[in-house]
Amino acid sequence: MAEGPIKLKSIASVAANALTATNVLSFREEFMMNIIPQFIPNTYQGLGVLEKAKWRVLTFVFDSDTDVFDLDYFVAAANIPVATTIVVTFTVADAAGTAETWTYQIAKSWIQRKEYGRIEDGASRNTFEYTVAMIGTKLIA
Amino acid sequence: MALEVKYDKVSSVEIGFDDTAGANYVEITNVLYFAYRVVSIEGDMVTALSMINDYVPGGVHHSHKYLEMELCLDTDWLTDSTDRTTRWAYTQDIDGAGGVAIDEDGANPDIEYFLVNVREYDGTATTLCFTYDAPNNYGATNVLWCTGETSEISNEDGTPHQTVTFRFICLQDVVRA
Repeated sequence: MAEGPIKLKSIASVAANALTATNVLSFREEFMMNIIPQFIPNTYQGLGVLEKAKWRVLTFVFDSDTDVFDLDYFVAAANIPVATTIVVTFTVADAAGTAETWTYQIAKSWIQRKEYGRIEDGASRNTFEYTVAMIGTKLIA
Repeated sequence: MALEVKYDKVSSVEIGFDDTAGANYVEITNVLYFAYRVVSIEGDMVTALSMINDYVPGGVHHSHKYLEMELCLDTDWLTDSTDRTTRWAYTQDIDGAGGVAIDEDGANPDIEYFLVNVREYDGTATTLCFTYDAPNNYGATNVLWCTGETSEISNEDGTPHQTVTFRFICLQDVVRA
């Protein structure tokens, strides 16, 4: 078996809570090692946890909003993550445009949301950013 | 006359292990950049940073310096190009005992073989050895670990690369070969 590169071209969709959004601008996954767990509450305010586990921070930026995380994020109440699985589908940079999926199976998670800009005629983007801190597993297919 | 080295680009990065059967490593060629810098620990950060995946390396204490490294790839590298689940950090043996650079649930083993092949401006090849152990350019144990992975994928027009960036720390200095 020969080694070689894998190259992704774009994000096709993000799915959670039996919903699928395609208006994804960007996706970022940071896999945090458990080197400095005591820094977690300081770096990500609101988590308020001291987890002795490896964890991931997933950041989704949408071109305006989506409802895929509506069951997870509440402004006036505690966030109750119900999405046990988040699936991000990519398009591979090959001639066939092969699909690749990253499936996050979530054991524990916390979610935050930020809105940038304002809804205004002439504005280039009105982005919504969801950040999910999660403990669980990731599968690539 | 002093040695003068002018780097041009990274040709490849080799990561794996070496034992009596010979070297076993991946040679990653889709490198966008490799960077390293010296970190000097001070004050009350010592305790926090002296623990690596529950392993406390000897000699890491007040004012002990170490290298923090970043390896940015044009997406990722596979140990089997026909199987996209074989991301190198999760499948390449890096200690000769089946350990991989990123253990999803447990402590990350140390990487014993880490060479960065650099092309100089005049075409000369230089190798930066981060686990140097004479007489070889590799083999030092408990000095280098992978400490993080960040994937960034964007649909914005004009995005030149979809990147995966790995971070490492190294407790000894780099040796040019």
